[in-house]
Amino acid sequence: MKHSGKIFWFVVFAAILLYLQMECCDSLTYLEQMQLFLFTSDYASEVIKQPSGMAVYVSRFLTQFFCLPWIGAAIVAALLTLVGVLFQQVLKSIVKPGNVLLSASFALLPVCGLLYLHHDFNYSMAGTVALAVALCALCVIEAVRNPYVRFAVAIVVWPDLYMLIGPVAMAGVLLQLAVELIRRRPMWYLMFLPMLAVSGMAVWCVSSGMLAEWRTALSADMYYDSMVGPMKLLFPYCAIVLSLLLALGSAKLPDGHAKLKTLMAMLVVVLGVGVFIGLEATDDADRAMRSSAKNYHRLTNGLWDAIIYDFEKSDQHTIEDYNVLHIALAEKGKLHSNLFAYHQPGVHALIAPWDNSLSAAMYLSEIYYRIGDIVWTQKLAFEGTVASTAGGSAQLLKRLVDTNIICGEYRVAEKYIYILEHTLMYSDWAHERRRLLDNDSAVEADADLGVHRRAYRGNGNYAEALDITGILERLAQNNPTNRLPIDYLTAFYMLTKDSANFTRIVEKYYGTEVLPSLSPQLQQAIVAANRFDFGFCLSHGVSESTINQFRSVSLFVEVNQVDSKFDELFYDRYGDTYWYYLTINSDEQ
Amino acid sequence: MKTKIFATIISVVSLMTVSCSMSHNIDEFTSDEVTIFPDYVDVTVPPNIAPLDFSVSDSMEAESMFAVLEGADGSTVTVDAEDGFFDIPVEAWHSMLDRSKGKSIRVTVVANRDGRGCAYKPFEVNVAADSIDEWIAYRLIEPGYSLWNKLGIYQRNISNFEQRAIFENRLSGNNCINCHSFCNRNPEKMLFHLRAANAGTVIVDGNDIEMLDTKTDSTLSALVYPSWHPSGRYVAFSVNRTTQCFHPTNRIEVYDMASDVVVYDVEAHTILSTPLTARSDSFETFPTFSADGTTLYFCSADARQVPDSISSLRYSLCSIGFIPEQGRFDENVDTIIDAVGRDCSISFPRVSPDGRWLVCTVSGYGTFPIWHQDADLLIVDLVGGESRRMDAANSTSVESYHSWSSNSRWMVYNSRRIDGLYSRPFFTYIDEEGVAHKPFVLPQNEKNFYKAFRKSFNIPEMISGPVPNNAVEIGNRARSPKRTKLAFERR
Repeated sequence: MKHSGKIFWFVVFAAILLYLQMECCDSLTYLEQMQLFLFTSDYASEVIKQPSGMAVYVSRFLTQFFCLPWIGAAIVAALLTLVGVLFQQVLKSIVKPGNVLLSASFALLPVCGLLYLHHDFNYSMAGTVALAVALCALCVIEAVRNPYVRFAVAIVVWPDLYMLIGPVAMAGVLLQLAVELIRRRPMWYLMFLPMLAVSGMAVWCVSSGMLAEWRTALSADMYYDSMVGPMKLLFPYCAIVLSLLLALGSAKLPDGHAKLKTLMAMLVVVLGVGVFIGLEATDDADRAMRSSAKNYHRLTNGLWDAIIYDFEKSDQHTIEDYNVLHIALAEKGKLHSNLFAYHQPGVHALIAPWDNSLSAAMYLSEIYYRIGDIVWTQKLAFEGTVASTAGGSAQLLKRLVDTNIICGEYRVAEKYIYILEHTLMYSDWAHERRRLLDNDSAVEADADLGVHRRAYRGNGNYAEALDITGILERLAQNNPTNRLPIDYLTAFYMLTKDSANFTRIVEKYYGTEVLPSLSPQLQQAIVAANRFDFGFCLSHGVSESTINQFRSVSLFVEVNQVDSKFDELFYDRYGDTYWYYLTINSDEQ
Repeated sequence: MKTKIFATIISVVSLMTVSCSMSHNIDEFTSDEVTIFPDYVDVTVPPNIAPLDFSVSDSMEAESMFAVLEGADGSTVTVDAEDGFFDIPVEAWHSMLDRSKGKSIRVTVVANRDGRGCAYKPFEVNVAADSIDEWIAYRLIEPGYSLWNKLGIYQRNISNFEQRAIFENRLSGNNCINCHSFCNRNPEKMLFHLRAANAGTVIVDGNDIEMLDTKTDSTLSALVYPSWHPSGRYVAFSVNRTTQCFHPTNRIEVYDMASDVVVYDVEAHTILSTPLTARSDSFETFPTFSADGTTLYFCSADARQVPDSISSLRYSLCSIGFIPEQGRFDENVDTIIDAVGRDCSISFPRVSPDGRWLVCTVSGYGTFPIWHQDADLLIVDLVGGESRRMDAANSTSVESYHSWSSNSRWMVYNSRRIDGLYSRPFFTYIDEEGVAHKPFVLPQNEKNFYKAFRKSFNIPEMISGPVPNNAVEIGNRARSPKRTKLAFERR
């Protein structure tokens, strides 16, 4: 069929585009947040001067557009399709003319491998950019008929490409050698020399200190943000080898048999797509990364109902899922009422300690900001920026701008404003923030920053302390209209079963703006902690019905505690109460 | 025909040149002071410093601006501003500095407005007769809480803008690098520590590179804060059990739960200790040798329960005699500055090469003043005994970590005064009376360098020349498991 190749790749492009947009749009915007692209000469020289620098620069340039709907998916789909098209051109020189669909299906295999890699947030798109450039170079060089000219171009281009795109250049020159050998082109053995030249570049880069390790000089680990790249980095290159072998095999097929060849092509497509689906379905790490991306998207956009819905729908949760759930509940005013509706794995379910990762810094910084804890917001935003290996994070830089403005550190805020002004997507936002520099009255009048400043500073009662509970209490004192600090504080004490402290909080603040009334769960906690002083309970917001319910629970426990199914019975009757948590839940505090 | 075309082109180009060239006329003198960044007004500079490129405030609107630099001999250099930034030609600047030694350069900034050149009040840049060591080394690191990523030790030629890496942590497994130290500012004899992955201490002496495992059973920790003996035979170190914690206002609080001072014999690979600097009831740290190597200065505080009592932790400046020929210590410790009596805390003592002065950092309490807003530099006259704050060098922000030049006339130190967070290297001239002159920040030839740069300059050390390029070999040694273990001897 005429134009079958074009139709094939158009379908591939559309399929990848739709798949990425439907399934991975949160991941794409998340990737944009994990890097920074600056339009400055310093940034350009810093990135480009290293081997593979040009590929990294182009990759980061493209990634900055991932925050726009559909654009990220379109860019990745286009890049992957381009790899497929270019590789098909290479295969066409091996596969007999007329087998367009067959060569296209073979070329789809490395595309599937790359698509799988793109789900891993540690994988840099620079690897795909590099492969596209290498394949393009290969096609151009192979188009030169004269073997001496072809050799001359190759010996110049491939070592230069090593510096520009990294170790993929070695894959490119090896592929060229294979193609020359397969095609028995005149003087094909000359292509050993470009391979040696590229190897020489790698040796020079390591021996001069430009690259620290052989591992990154000669393997796809260069494009992976981790100490050691996983095996999956090899998948696209194994697929290339497999495609070559399939192409070689198909070259031996007799002419004709179009239907058979079309069937073979379809089988290869099914194989490629099937392997991709199978790998992705079983890759827990990728799934966790996508979950983090989804959490972050919902957290930064205030999609609380979606967070709660998804949490309830799933039966496997990470601590991050709990953290995000709890802020969603708190924002909906339901933190206490729903706290014990879920199994609570301990106080870290409220706010986890930071694990030194960029992803945790990003979501924790958001949670702390919503609670009003500027100190921890800033710490995590700063540390997350340090942890980033791709220049920083625009969202974290925005948090650094705002927290430093809130604290009155205008010169530091100005530094981050200056940096963001040199981005494409955030320059307007940063420029607008300039009006707040050295302008206390404008800051205090700002709907968001002003409230945060008042909560942070109080009347000299700074929300600063070494422990989170100290900060939460001061935030509650300074800004009682924000319920989150007091809700988190009391939830914290309930989850840690710290009866002394939640009694202290109730005693100190009940009936004030900070704590005008007690939630049923907090009442349950107070009653349990003061079971011998119901008078105290009644005078501090606990209702008669709660006390009566406590009496019922006490009786229930007394009667049934010897029952072998006591836990189940207790859960059935009182599973969503603090009393159940207090009595049965023995998870780490 | 061709001639006509050529002539036309020449005419057009000439016209453009004439119409685009800036007017350098001064039509009016005002008494308005110009605000420049960095602040180089009335600073004192060495005669071999890089051009003091500066920019004017964006609010100073003008069609164009230029600056006239007038040397002590009357020669002038005119520099046109580009986007408010004055990029002074290096050669012309050095030539002017050379002719203005011991005198000053007058700088007049002129703004062209409505076709008139309005000159601001000129300011002076004083040129000392004493030169400065041409290179400094520093670590570049984010002023973070606990994490690091890419960091390294770099060297900068301060007579121009050349910066090169001495060693970057990507060559040693992305670990932490710290405490670089040079023997008498000798770029070929240095040491630094590697922490976390591939831990050890690197000692470089010419072409020899040694990797040490400095942890012993008899010491609290691996060797920490270094200071070379002038002979190069010994290095004084502290050993510290240090904790760093998040401090809500100071950002970080660093304190020792225990610390001692020891001396490492480089040739014998032996750590030498005396009970007088390793007492269990006190914390000894920050050792430094005197210029002649016969005295070991250090800081000492009565042991406290930390972090509870950290605000009452005060380090005094002490000294003990050292006999380099025998590697032995005296039997008495003298107190130079009693911190408790002065209600302050001393750290980082450094003696000038001529032996006359000692400069240290003073703050309210504790042992890691770079995070204390009240940290200032204090100078001690080792001959007369007096001490005073270096007012001209200090600011309302943090001043800390200082290093002397070979001729004892210059000091480089860290200050956070520009934005309160990122530390920058400042240079101050110290005259023969020990009086510091107004400091200046390390020159850069980009308008917004200090605004955009997201790393702090850490531990600036003056060196007499460039450090040779042996980073790759150091990295290879670091990644190999081979380490020289040290002996311990109590004397």
